[in-house]
Amino acid sequence: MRSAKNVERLCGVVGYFSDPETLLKVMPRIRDFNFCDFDAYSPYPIHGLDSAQGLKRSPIPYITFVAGLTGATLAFIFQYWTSVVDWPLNVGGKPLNSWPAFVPIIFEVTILFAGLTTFAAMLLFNGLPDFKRKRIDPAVTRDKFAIFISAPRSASEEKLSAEKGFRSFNEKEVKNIFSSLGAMEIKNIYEDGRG
Amino acid sequence: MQSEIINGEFSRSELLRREFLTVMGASIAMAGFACAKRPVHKIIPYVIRPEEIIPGVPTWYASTCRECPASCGVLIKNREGRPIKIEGNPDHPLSKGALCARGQASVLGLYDPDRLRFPLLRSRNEQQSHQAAWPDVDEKIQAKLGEIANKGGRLKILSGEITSPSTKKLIKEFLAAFRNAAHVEYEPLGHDDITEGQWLCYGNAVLPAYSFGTAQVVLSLGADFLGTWSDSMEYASDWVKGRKLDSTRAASAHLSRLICFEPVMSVTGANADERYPIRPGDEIKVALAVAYELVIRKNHPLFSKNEKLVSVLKSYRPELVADEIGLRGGTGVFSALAAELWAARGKSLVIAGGIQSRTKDSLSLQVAVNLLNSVLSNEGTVVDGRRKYKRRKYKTRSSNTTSLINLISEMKAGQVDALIIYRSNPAYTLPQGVSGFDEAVSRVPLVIAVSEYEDETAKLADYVLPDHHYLENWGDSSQGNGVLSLQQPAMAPLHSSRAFEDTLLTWISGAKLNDWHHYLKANWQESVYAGQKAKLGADNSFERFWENSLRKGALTLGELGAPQPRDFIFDSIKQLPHYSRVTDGMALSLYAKVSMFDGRNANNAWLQELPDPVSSATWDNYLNIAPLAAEKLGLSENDVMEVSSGKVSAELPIHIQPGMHPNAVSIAVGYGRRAAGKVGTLAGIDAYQFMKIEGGKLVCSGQRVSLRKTGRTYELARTQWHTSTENRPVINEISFDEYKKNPAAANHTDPHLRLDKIPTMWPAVEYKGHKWGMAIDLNACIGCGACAIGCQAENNIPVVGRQQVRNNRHMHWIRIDRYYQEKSGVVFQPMLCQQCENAPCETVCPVQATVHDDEGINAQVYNRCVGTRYCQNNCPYKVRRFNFFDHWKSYGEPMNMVWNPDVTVRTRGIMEKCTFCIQRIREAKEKAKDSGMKVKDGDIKPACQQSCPTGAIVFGDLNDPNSMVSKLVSDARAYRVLEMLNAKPSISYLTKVRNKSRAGG
Amino acid sequence: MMLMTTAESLVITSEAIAIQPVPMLTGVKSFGDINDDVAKPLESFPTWRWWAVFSMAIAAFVIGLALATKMFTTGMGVLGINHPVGWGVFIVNFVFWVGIGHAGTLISAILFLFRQRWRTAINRAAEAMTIFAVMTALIFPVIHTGRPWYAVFWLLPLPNERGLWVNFRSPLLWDVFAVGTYFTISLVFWFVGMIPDIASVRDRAKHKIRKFIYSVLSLGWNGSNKNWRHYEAAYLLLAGLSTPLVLSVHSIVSFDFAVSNVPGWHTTIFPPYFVAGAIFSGFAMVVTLLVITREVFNLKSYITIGHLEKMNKVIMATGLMVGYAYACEFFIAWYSGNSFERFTFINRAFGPYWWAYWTMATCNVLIPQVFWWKKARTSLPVMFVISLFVNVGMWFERFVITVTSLHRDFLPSSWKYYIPTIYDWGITLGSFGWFFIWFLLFCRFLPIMAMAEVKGTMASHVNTNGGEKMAREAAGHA
Repeated sequence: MRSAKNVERLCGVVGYFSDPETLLKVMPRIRDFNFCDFDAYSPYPIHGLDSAQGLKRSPIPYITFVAGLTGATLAFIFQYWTSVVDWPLNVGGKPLNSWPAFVPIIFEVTILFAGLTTFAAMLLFNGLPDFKRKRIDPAVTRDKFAIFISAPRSASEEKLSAEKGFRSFNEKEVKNIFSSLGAMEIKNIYEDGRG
Repeated sequence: MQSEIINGEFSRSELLRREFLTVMGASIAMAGFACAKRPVHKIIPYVIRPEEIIPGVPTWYASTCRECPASCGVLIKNREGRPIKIEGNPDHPLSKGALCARGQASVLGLYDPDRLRFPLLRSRNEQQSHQAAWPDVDEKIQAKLGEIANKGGRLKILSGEITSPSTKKLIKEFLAAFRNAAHVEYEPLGHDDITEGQWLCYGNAVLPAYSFGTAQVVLSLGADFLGTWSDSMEYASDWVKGRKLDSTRAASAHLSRLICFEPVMSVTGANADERYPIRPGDEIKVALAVAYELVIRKNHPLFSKNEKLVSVLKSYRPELVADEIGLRGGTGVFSALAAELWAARGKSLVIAGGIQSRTKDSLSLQVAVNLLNSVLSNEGTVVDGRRKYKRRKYKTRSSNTTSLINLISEMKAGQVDALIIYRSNPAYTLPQGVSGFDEAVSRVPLVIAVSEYEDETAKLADYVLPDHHYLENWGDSSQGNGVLSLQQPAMAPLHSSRAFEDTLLTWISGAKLNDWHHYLKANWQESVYAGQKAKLGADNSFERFWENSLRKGALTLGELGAPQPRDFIFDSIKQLPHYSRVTDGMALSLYAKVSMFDGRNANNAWLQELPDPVSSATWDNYLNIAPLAAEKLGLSENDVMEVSSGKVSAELPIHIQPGMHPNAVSIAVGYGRRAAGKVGTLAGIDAYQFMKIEGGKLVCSGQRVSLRKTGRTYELARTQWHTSTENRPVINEISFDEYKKNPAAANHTDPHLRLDKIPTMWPAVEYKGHKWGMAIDLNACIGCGACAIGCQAENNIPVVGRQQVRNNRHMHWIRIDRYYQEKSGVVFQPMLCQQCENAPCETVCPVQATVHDDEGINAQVYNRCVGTRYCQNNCPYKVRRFNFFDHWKSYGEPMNMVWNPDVTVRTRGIMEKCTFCIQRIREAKEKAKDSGMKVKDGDIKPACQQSCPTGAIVFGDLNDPNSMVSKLVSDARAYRVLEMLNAKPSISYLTKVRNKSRAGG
Repeated sequence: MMLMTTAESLVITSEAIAIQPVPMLTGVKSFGDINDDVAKPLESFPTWRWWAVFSMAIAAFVIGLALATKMFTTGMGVLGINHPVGWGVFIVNFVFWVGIGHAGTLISAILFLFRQRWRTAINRAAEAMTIFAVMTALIFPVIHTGRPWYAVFWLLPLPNERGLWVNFRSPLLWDVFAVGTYFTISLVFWFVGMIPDIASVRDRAKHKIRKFIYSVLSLGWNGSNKNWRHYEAAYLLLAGLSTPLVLSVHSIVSFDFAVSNVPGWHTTIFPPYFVAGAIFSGFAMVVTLLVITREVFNLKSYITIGHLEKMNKVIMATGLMVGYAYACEFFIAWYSGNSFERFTFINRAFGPYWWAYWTMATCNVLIPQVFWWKKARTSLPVMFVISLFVNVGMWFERFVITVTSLHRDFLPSSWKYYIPTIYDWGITLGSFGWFFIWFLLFCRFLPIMAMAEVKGTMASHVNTNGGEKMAREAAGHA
């Protein structure tokens, strides 16, 4: 019955673990195998998994900060230009640049820029939106905790990763690793994402 | 003679009508001063432009107002051939540019859609009227008149008071054709009592001229001379001369005094230094109590010799009178008053009159007043009883009303064959049942009404002939003191109406001149020009004289020297009744409002919505009652009461009016019209029905009434609901003594609101060129409301109607706030946009729809406004007006012609307000630019200043140290309303100074 | 078998939770159950209860719409506003609805920053409430203008055909930015929070169309840890940004009054006072809604009495703050010595609008004191009724501030009483309809609980209660 599938490309192998804690314990070991591309899947974010997986802190905060500053500056420049330069008008006997009145809008625009940029950055870094992306298993958004080690998509990619000094992907080996780490279920994932 | 009248004269007259216009046109073309003659509906650009019309440039015509017998001089502003505004004519020798609210509003009357548009044939039994054409109307009437003339029938003309000598002459000529003819004049608010009193005391029945300006003390016994009494505008502008103050000479300042005893809280009473509420009928008692003090106590050299007088006066012991009236201050009031008057003898004035005090003793009252004026030797100094051109002169003692009443009885007796009623509405202005006028008219076979409307009286006629509005007609007027005014049409007639005079000329057979314009000129040529010819310079042709007279609008026939005192005829003393104490009970007095007058303008929406200066109510009349009485009877504002006097009774809401005598109530006449038109019909109730006829005289006031609470309520549409300043720095009012000590004195006490220096975080804005500002003298403002109407006409301010006024959505840009002060009395404060330098409204507008221009004006950009109403909330003066609906839609054809083309007509949903008549500022600046000169002080007059009879409002450039306004603003009396808010208003008010006597009161 | 063990581990977990001060969940629930329960209303045909409430909402909205149409065609005059009182019920509603919104952001953002785990069960609904409340609020500043057809774009910072800009000094313009930003950021925050849950709804969806829609909405989320990493960072930041934002928004709304010069408006206490009031009214509205929702969608075991009690405590606390503000205003009025101020406040309590003032004081200060008793805090009927009272009371607070200050301001000559008309009331009713339409649709089509977060909190308890050991044992059985 497998023969039918042999034609399909193997995307990678997924191993299911009982709960977040196990995942946390197992992850460093997987990492040490130094595969080119592996990731964990869970219904909710698991604290500590990033470091276990060897991921650096997300750069979004810096982007947000810069965006905020930009918003503030633009807001003031805009208000100043419209009320002092472009069309100066005597409003209520106040000076053209009555800056205290500009503060609320400066503040709001700061938040607006920062917020929207944060959102955009999040999507960007996560490669969202992406409706084509392969999904390991519908259950990971429900109650499954899994680790997926992906196979190289092409020979060239395999070559590249080898050059980078990554461990080359081998289905058998990966499955052994998973079972040795106490995975409760191990599956091959094929192109069509069928388990 | 018959044939002459009957033979189809109409064709000729019709032709002449057309000629009349062409001739007029010719004269225009020649002189370029007379009216624009074209169908007014034609809109610019003209195919062929008449040379006297420049699109966008107004043409001004001098003329004479005919809204009441006062006949003030007016200037008519024409745009594209249609009158859009009426203003007082500053060159007029009597009114001197003053024009009351009614005069200002008369331009709306011109475009009133309810005006008659063609002659009507009425059938009396079907009570229906059918449109008719002039020719057949003339034919029918001339035929009938012919018959009457032949059989020597009796023809009567009943008209309102006619001040035009030429019209009078014409009427005489017309009546000459009839053997038994008479002309009866009747004014519901006329002055028979005065003329009659003059006749009794001095032997000539005139309405004397009073010089309020020179009078140091004025004692008014119910005469509302600042509001509705006689030539009130002329009086007001004269009286105020004695009220203006210059603080640089405060210590030595003079301020005339006004003391009022009145049964109604009138505009005059509101301006009094001392005011005493009395019951109608008490006036004579007050007068004679004062006379007692002057003649008996002071033992007057001449008058105390007359036993008859002394015996009468003896009965009026001040103690009794004071006690009966329940006078605040008791007897002291009379002695103090007498002393004061005596001290100012020859420079004081005692007056009485007006319907509010026209009780059955009104004639005696006049005698008493004349007596006082003679005792105080004001006769011949302040009172001028001598007139070259007498406005009212009667050979006999019989007065207008008497002759009217006689006429009615004649009609009843079927002794009248034909009645022509011209500009008079007795079916409304006479008491219904009592007079029996309707029934009397029904006995007259031929009744012709010449009127602008199919009014109550016209509905009794067989023929209703549409008369011109005065702005469409020629005419003249004689106002005494040798002053003649001319009236010229400012536009061709809107409808197929015809001047009364033309009608008469049409009916007169073989008239030498056959149209009114020529008749008038001819009359002037012989009666006026002849006398003036000598005085005229080189070019003394009549045409020249005529043109100049028309340009000026009025002329004075020579100087009258100083008046001579007339001797008091002691025989008149027998008119004076002996003192009799009146038992308690409610006494009613009728009175007239500045807006409604006698009711002739009831269909004028501007006037209906003009708040009464005292009560601030619009659109209705009501029963004024004293707070004390209301409390005693357990009444509250808006309770509907049934007022009954004899058989007559009416139901109307009450207004609790401070300053009323607890035993006096009052109702305004001029309301409850039964056939005024869409606007005026059945607004309020008809108070004339409470008048009585006693001894051949109309008695308007003093009748006992009984009040019954109906349990219903009716909300009066008032524009001001709170009457106290709550001791806020809004009004500054001090006594004359305080003023002399310190002209800058302030009367409100809160130290927190008296900041000398207001800290501010911003630098002040500099105004390089002009800096417009205004000063308003609270001492001069009498609250007449003329400015409100002037502004309404100038700035296209819509009328909102009764219900919207109730919702406080009236649109007036300038309103007269009226406050009742604890001690002193009433204060009026014209409140308009203060054009604040730090305008709170501007800061909060999100779309910059209101910003400052570089001349200090707080501009309002209508087409940018989105109507957040934030500016309104943030305006401390609440002078911004929001368009809650498309009010302009109520101005249908042809009313829309009254819009001022220089001012936007605002749509709903936007805010509007006073802009110092920025269009006038523009105009003046452009004129100056064209002539290459700078704008001079006084070149620019906003509508309110222009229309103010007392010059209380002064506008000008604050950057110009020599401008009138700068001087006033730097006067020690100048203060700004709510100054501590640091809004920096451009309008300064001048402290109200009341001349309280030390005796108090 | 796999699932079974997970379930077992959770049986213990939930017991473990039971000893927590606030039960996060009552009864035995597994991760899977959460999905099943939360997704049920999305996947089943709505109950008659839902339809009943929904049709009522529609009816209310239609009434409002009809009256508003008449108003647009004839003019503002149909409303009660008059010459001193330029702002009436519409502005009251605006402030009221914006205030309601604040509770949502507070729960979702501020409580998140304070790591208040109990928020997870209710924050989604609360945020939804924020979004819809702001959507409702935004209607009023537009339709209260005389010419809304212009206002809608003339109030935006764009030059008109003559190059005239807006006036940045006007608090109304600050509003445009504040409320606009608030709406945008809240929407983003809400949506970001929902992505994983939409993904799980997608993954269980049977129906093609449903699957498609949720796939689009979930942007293709797949729950990989690399995504979670950025996701969490972004979510935290958004929470951090929303917190000052929510405080600024009602401060700026309060500037509409505070920046003007009207006595009773022109006061520096307004920003904190308004924010407290906003949270107060918002929490009351949340309680009202949740008490209904947990009944209608039978989520009793998620939205527990424990949650509601906490909310009630907040209501009581903020109620006291508001009460303090009321007292403080009077003190300032007296202490400042400003006679206008004094008059205004005496006039508030004892003037023509005394009834509004005392309604406000009773509903906002007196009645919430009942919550001192735990019995009251934990009784559904009691808290429901009180939350309604607070809603009414807070509406009247805005009425008192707006109307009583205006109807008697500086110049006594312009003083006038203000009476709302049927149009004011009808359009207000319509706004409630509009709000509930959206809220009910939300309950019907989107996960009304943050599943991922709930799971997260459950698991964290597992950590703190040695669930790990249990889990291993459970694994051992395998």
